[in-house]
Amino acid sequence: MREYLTAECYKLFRRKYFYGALIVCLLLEGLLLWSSWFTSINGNTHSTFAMAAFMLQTLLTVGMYATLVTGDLAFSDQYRFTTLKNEVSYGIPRSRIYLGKLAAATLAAVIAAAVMLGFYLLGAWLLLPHGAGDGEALALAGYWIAGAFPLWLGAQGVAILCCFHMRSAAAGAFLSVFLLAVLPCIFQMLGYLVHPAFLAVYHCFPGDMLGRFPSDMLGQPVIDWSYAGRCWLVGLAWLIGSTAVGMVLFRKKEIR
Amino acid sequence: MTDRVLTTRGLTKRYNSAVAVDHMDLDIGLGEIYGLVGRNGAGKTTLIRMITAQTVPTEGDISLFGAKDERENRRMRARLGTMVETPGFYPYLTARQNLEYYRLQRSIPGRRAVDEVLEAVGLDKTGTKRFKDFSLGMKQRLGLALALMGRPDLLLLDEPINGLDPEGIVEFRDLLLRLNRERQTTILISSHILPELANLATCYGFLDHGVLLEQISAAGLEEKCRACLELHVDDAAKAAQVLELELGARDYEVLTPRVIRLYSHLEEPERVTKALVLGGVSLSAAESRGADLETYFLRLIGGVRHA
Repeated sequence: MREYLTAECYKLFRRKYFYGALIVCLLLEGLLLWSSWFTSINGNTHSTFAMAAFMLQTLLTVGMYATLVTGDLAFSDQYRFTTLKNEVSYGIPRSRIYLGKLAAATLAAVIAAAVMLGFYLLGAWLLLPHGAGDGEALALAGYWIAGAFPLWLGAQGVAILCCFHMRSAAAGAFLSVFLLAVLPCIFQMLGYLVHPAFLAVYHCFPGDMLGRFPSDMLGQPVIDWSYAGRCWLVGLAWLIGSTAVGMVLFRKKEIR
Repeated sequence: MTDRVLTTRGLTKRYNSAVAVDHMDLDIGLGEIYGLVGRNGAGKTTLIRMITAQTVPTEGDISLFGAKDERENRRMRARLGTMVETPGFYPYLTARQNLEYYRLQRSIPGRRAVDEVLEAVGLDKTGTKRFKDFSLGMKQRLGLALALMGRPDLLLLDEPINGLDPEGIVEFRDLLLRLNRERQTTILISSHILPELANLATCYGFLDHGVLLEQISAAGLEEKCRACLELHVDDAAKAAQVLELELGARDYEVLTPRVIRLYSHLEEPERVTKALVLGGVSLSAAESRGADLETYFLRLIGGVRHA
């Protein structure tokens, strides 16, 4: 597995796609920081480091969709380029192929997340005014990230499952969006219209959990570790479940 | 240890109701160059795809290097070199980067392994040119390089000379013959270019509609394809006597009581027929026979179809 992962990293980090996507995200973050800084120097007293850190919560769902990009990056359009046959033909177990690409996608996602979060927080720290709430804001940001991480992992599992089982990358992305964004909406609707049990299912989707982090109550920041614990349970369940389904389906899949 | 490199028993692949490969029993021995001959859709590629685990057989067994089960087969596949259909590589990587990726993945020791095969196929000077900018012939050569990397014991090549220029075909043939001679590499090769196959193969398997019609050695095929005069007579034994006495012929074969094949006097069929008639043998037909690989195959499948 170590050799397989080394090879995946060799390929992955030679792609301009990875750096291009990262640069675009960093530019967008830069734009956000610049606008915060610009309003700050023009007298907006709310534009502080603490406020910038609070804004991270709204970006958590973006992290979930970013897993579609890292999944595609690691899978590298194998069906279009017919490269998967070069792996199975030489006796590399299909389980290793599946897990190897999942691990590579996760690694790319973690690196990209670390760079983007680091850039954002460091930029905000350097550019924006500081105040008494900085420590609290940072703690809250850490709590969100700690809770969001397993949910991102779950989404990554779903993205890789779709990459492996759809012959076109576009169809894979479409299926991922359906599973991560459309399906929960259907459950939500069924919950309101048919039975409240569907709402319970809806609350177990990564997208919903990322959007429901308790952040403040009566103006006071709240860190609810039991919610973060639930995020870990749900996120890992999605990761394990999607990986198990993906590996079973891939076991006998025709490779061309 | 076994001298059988590849054995299949009852190997079958069905796609819904269509049978792509039908109960195939194949035997390939160590050091053989096995030519797989069949027209489009005969099952050649499906057979190779099953051997390389790209598709799962519907029934039957495959044994690579004497492996007892699929788990052992998987281990043995590390000893394969394969090229199935068009070569697949990452378009944004160079030839060297593509091969380095697979070298790392398969734990083939030494970076030299990549240089060796690139030199062998003449792609060692492609530098930073990416796979997407390669010509068809270059892509094919890179596919061969991948198949050769790691010094395989069994090469499985599906239409490997498609897209190669005449010079490339000669180089490729010499390379395969050298590998076979020097390293005893066993080769299973399918090709539509039958004369080219005839220059390589030591053994043939003829496929049609997923069925292995015949397995035959190159020597056996040569014997079967030998030029002769086939004579249809009322009494083959009597005809043999006449041929011996009147023409001094010794090189003949009585196939049935009414058919005899004469391997000498091929340039003078009139003299032969005259001798037979004068000797009291009733001759109903006399035809020149003898075939190359293509003709033999077409006869075997029962007529001219796409080979």
